Amino acid sequence: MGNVDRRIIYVVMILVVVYAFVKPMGLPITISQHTKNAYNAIDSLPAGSTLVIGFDFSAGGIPELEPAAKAIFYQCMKNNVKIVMMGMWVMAGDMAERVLTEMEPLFPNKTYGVDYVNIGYKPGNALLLERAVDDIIGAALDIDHRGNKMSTLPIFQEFKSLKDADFWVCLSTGNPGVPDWIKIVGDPLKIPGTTDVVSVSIPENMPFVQSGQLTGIIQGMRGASEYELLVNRPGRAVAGMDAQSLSHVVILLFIALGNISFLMGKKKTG
Amino acid sequence: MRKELPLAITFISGIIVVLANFLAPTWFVEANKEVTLWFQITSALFCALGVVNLTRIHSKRVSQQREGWIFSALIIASMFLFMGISLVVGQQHQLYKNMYNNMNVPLNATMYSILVFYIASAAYRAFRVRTFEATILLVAAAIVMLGKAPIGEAVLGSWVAEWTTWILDIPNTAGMRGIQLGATLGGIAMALRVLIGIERAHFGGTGE
Amino acid sequence: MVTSDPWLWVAAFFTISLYTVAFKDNPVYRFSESVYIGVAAGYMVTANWFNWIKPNLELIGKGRYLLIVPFILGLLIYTRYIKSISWMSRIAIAFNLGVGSGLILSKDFKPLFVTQIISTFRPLNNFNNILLVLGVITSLVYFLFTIEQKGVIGYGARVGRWVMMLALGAAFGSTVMARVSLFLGRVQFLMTEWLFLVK
Repeated sequence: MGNVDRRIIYVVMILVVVYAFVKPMGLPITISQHTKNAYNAIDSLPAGSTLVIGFDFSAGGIPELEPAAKAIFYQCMKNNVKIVMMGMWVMAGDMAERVLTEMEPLFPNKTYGVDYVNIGYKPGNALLLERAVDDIIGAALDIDHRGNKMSTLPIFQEFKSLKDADFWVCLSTGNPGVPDWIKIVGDPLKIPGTTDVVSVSIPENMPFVQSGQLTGIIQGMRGASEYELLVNRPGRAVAGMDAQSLSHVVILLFIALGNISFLMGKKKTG
Repeated sequence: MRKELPLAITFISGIIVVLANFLAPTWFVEANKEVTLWFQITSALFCALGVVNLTRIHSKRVSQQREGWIFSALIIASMFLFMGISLVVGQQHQLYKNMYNNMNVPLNATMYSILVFYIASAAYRAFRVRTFEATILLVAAAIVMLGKAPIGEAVLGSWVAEWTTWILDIPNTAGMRGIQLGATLGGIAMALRVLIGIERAHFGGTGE
Repeated sequence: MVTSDPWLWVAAFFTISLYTVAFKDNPVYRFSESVYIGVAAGYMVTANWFNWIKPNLELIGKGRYLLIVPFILGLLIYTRYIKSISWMSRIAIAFNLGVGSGLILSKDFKPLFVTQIISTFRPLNNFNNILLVLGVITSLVYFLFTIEQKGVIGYGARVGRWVMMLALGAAFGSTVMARVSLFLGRVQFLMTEWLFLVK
């Protein structure tokens, strides 16, 4: 019992996940208060507000963060809230384009450069935010991810710097990430914000939620699935929850198996 | 000069940033803006370090035909092919988007996701309740894993989700805050040491 | 039944080939691993080129000649490969470290330290608040290695350990969740976009 071949564990994991996708159980997903707080904060933004989304993640964050990014984009476009997408991570621009590729066709009455814009990745980590606090066009060298001159885009007639943001969302898989947004944008400028972090980063960001430096938190794939349900657009995150459930049960069962054999072995040796 | 010049540059560049944030004479603030732009440019230029290093190491392997040299050739070829095609077609071209979405993204995401297998087998083999503390750790982990997955609530009831929220909101916050306070102080102390030149390990020195 | 898009086949090939390493190291995995290393390094360069280096070069061309200085500063990092002048790479590192250190000194203290401590001052009128305050204090006591951990300090450190174990248990559970989610994302891609087995 304590010496199951690791390959058996791998095969069981794969089979369980495939089964969950082929035969979904439709387990109910309750919405946590933290996700509700984030959703309500964005929902309460008046029409014409500007929300800044930091795409501070790499491909490893896609399953947990991209669904939330799409849901937030959907919510903002429905509520006529403008979106400025940017990021400190090198994949920021391309990640934002992935979201736009799927979401743009849903809003034919919304225009790039007027209602939303993808500034993309600019180097400098936290110093990018520092410069963007004074002058976002200068910080981005007046060029967005699609090669447009930012100063010619209507959205930047009123949105001159991060000081003009009404809310910020940091989609983060690590460093640079949430602490940088808090220390440069949230805390000094008193602009509220929230985050969707990968599950591994949830524990380290909870102190910021407790201190009020984050308005709610979207916690990994579960949080993203909750957000999809809140905007009435269940997608990839919701679809993955059954498989997530079964995978967790399998891992816990193997841990229990290992401990049972350990305790039985301890009993034998006295 | 080889030691003093870098230390002087560290101090000057750092002090401009510090003083611009605490005092605000216009010329300091303008100097800070220029320094941060320079920082962005130098950071961007460091990006090719990976390419240069990989080319140096793997081209040697290829030329010496060491074991696995074919894979070294593949690294160099894929690197320059990707760069070459991207630089020619540009970021908005469909070919670039296809390469990004169907090579970069799956490779990047899959490489990190392989860990799920190792976590599962490592947890099975090594996670043993030998001590009271280990039991606390395991119980907390189990509650969080069941609480965050819908099956926990569906099978065991809403208390699993409530306990998960409680663990994350209270003891986890307390423990992580302790770590964070220590880490922040440590970071500030290190930054000060670097700024005033006590810490020189990054220059190959032993520091004081 | 199966996609006809060749690019999706490429993505599926890379996904499945990387997973084979879990069972046994093999040439197919090494092929994909090598492509990954090359593409990742190349992507770093192209992203920085398009988003930053090229626009700055255009600015220099338009007359902002002062920007030549950071370009030289940044390129100095590559002198590490030339033995006779490798010390000059320290100048590039020195500049970046200086600016980074300056930012930490000016930005970190209030939001990451002061605000966190202020938030710990909760009214001790319910169990959760008492636990939070005690938890922070005892986990800090646990990390006090310059004082002998006996008596009150010893008890505090022990409670701190328990609090840390709860936090680390949550961290472990979250880590498992994260890796599982990543894996699910890839399986979702294979089953929805490549094989059309799931809508």
